[in-house]
Amino acid sequence: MASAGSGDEKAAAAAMITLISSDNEKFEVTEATATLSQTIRHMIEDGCTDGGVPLPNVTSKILARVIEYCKKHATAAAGEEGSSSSFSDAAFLEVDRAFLEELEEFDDAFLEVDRATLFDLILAANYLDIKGLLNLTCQKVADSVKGKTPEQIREMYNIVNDLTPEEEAEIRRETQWAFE
Amino acid sequence: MAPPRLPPEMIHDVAEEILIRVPPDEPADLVRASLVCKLWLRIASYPAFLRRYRAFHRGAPLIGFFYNNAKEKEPAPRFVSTTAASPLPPAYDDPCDEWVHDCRHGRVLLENNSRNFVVWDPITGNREELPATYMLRICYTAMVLCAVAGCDHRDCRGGPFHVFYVCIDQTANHSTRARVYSSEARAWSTTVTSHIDRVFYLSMVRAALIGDGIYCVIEPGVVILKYDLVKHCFSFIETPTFFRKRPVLMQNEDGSLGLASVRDSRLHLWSRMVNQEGIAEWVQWRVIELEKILPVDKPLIKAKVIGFAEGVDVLFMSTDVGVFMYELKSRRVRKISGPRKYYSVLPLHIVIARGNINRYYMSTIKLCLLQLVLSC
Repeated sequence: MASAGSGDEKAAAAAMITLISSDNEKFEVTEATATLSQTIRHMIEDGCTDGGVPLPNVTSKILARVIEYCKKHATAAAGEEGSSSSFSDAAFLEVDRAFLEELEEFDDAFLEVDRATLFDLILAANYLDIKGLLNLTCQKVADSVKGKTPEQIREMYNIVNDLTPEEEAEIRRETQWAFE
Repeated sequence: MAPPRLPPEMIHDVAEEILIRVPPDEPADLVRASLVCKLWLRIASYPAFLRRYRAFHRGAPLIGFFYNNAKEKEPAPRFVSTTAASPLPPAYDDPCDEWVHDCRHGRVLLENNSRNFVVWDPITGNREELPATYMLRICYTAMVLCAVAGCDHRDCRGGPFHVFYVCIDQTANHSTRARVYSSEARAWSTTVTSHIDRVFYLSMVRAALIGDGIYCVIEPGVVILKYDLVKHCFSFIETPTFFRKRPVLMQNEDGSLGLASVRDSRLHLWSRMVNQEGIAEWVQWRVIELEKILPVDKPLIKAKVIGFAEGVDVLFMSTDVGVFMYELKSRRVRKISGPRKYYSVLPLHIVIARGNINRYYMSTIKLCLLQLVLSC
């Protein structure tokens, strides 16, 4: 529970975590922000975060975006906890609704990135095990394949077709209805 | 300007997370996506993926409906797809001249030329003809349903089922009679009978299944017959007195019994609620002006509700300007066809994905690609 006071401030200061990107840039984040990542949460639980958490799979550019996401959603999670005790208060519900809308807008804006960055974010979300971010980014890709042919999907996401022409022809024959 | 950076190589876990989220409302999307590369094909073909995909997308999407149309001398049943691409053909030459009574939990209930019930799997083509039993063949209706308690009906097509048959005997003291067939016992139950004090007939519109209760409309829409599948007894519910014209029964989102019907070009939606005194009563919860939501340029003369698809909350309406689907949640309207007569609409819900694939997947691909998983 958050409340003002010098003791709490000290505790908050003590709960800062340093994340180190693959290009050796350091990011100071609160434990609440960092623990949206299950991977980091486990490291904290195991006491392996002294001297910073090296993330050799994540560049500083992507890590900055991931932290931006986690900060926003950590605030949201804290807000939810705070409001649960006041569920009967209509004013609180109104605030909750406004906050959820704001969060949705944030997510929409967050996804306005090129496909390469989107994929980097997916890989980072997968590696760091951030469920919300993984869901958000993967859903964006999944929605983008709607109505597309396999060729269009390969081109969009730089995927090499390693099926043999015979394999592909056979599958197309069997599922002709999907290609008409 | 530098060319845009190419996306990094996809790894297995991530590809699965993406494929699992491909929306199931257009079944062709996942089929096409799985043809992108070997990795995607392999993932989409794992039985475990199939299970996850079904679980991830809770309600199976509506992909079309079966209908009977004896007047046009077409082979029956016929299937109308409501998606852009459909794995099911629009008409089945075999079986023909059959009547489709129900479509539920991945199974279709037909009545064949010998007037026996047949439970048919429209994907595999498997047919199970039920043993003949003495039944009245006028003023009756029938329903097929999964027999497994607590089943989520995502993958129960091949499992045990029940067939419910009910008729109104207008000759012998105006009684309602019901029998239930069990696929496990391979037998019909004894007949359950109840008196009904007026001469009525059973609606051809599809019955509703809510919990252990089967609800059928008794025309002209004054009474709803309820059959309890656990206690094996009948009870009767009066329809709202205000409105008694060709209602369609449905399960509302909150699990209550719902009723939809059209009067004076308005769609009326009702819900059976328990009031503060503990008494069940009808509550009208929505009235929709059809002329405002349908593309009409003159007043509607005929309009009626002909079916309801559970889970996706879609109502089917037949009007003099065409047949429409109306999504209750999004309030989206879609035209299916021009004006035509449907007795009733039997919606098919389906999740389509690959399954049963292993490391020899190319040798078994033919079978796997044809594996379609029906769910309700």
